[in-house]
Amino acid sequence: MSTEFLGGLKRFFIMGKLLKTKTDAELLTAYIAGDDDAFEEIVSRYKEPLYGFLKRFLNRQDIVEDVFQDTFLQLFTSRESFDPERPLRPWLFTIAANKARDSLRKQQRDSSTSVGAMGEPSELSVDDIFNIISSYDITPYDEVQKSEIAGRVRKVVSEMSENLREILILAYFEQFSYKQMAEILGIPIGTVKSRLHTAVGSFAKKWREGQGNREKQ
Amino acid sequence: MISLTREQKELLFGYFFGCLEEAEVSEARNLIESNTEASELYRKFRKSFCVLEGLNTGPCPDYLAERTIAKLKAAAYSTQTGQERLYSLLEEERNAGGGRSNFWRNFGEVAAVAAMILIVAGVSIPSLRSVRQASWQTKCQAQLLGISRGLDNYASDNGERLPAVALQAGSPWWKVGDQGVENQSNTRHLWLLVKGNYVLASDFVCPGRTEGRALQFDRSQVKNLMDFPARRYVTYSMQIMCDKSSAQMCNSNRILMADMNPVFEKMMEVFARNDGNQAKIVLSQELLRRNSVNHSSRGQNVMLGNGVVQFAVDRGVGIGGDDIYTLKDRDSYRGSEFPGSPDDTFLVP
Repeated sequence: MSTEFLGGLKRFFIMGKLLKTKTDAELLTAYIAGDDDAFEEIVSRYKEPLYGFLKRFLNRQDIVEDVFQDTFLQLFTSRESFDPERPLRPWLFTIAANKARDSLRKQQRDSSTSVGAMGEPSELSVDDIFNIISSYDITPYDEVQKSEIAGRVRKVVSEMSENLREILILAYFEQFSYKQMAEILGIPIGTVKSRLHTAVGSFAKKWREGQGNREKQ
Repeated sequence: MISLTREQKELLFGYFFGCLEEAEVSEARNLIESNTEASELYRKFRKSFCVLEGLNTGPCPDYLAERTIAKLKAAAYSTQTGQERLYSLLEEERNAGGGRSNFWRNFGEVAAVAAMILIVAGVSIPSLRSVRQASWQTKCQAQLLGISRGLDNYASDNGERLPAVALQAGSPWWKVGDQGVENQSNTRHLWLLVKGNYVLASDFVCPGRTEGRALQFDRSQVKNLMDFPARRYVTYSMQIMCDKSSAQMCNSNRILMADMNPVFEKMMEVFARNDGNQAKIVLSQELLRRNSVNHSSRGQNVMLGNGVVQFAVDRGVGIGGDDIYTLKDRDSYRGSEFPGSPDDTFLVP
């Protein structure tokens, strides 16, 4: 067989492999090899969860869109250094979380308006969490409209400190494991657990305080 | 006073938030199913934190994804690597002789490559489909979990009773979409969740049925309807319940809902044609084995009363291996049968 034929066959094998876009690893490998379609598939696959995370964490639409684009651009620029055999999703969220935090700090420097609560509440254990839910009924009143609940939830979450808000969103909405969150946030697994306990307890207490204020009105 | 150990509490906590590794998930499920206190605490957890669902964000705008892809393409071709690749390809073309590609010169080579393309396509298209099916299966589970939370909220607001219309023994359970005053479909219970704003109407359509496409639904019509507008708007089946049995289903490990019953899917037309004349349909062995078509008959997602959602490759996952889509010791139906025992799982329509 001629050299040209073998070269063409090789090209067709690569393209054939690209057609089999079964895993993130294969998509990334294809993208590193120069296939734009593979990266479009990555964007398509992760745009919803990434957008959801950024929207809940940052809330401001303009910042959300900037960080969204920056995250994928960062993925592009650092693609050569990533091991395609490792799961893509935690890595993508690591980039997103870092960029989101950078963006928040920039906002805080540029503006006198706080974009999150300063200072961490005291740490809570898993025993504290179960005592809280056993002691309180923290569900809303029957007559409260669902849209009002949504507004109150957004308010409570936005008033949480950056660290606690971030981990609550990663755990509850993105369902990352403890191990994955440790990688994303660059902290030990024990710290992930204690921070998540504190975040959940903090949310429960603030929600309860909000209910208490409504009772007094 | 909570008697669970700290490790058990950590397990429940981690299970609720989906933070556990696979082995721990099984351990947590076993704890919930075997320990009443754990089951009750888990239920309280879900009830307490379901308000977080209010933090909706809406879908990612199309323009954002398109803009991002456009920027990435621009970045790719503006990099030195991209330019070098381009120059290299151009050089190869020139050296091939007069700028013409000699790839297609030999007919034998063309035929061999064409055969290669067919083989690769034959392998890759099913693989691509299986990725999409897995994605729909996961999304379906997420929707059932959302429905489960809606049921919990409804029960919490209504004296720990699941939504139930007055469906009496002998009433038909298959007339989905009927808007008359009589309750003649087992879907009317679920419709109460939509009317009460506990669950979105779109969550009752399995993505596997619509290949991921969302059905358009006019929410302004909800208050005027007594049931889902048509069959295609609800592709899950629910345990037949009378008003009294609903309390037993809360927080239990009994199966409450699953992907659509495959047995009666085609039978609705037969029931409709013979309505009032009591058509009797006898089930074949094939119908008795078939899985739900929502996920290409590979199995069905099932939701338990305690909120656990699992994918079952077999229909015999009721109590004692009971078939969840038929009644015990019965192979002929008129569309108005009720289970004789609470242990007989019968998900319809």
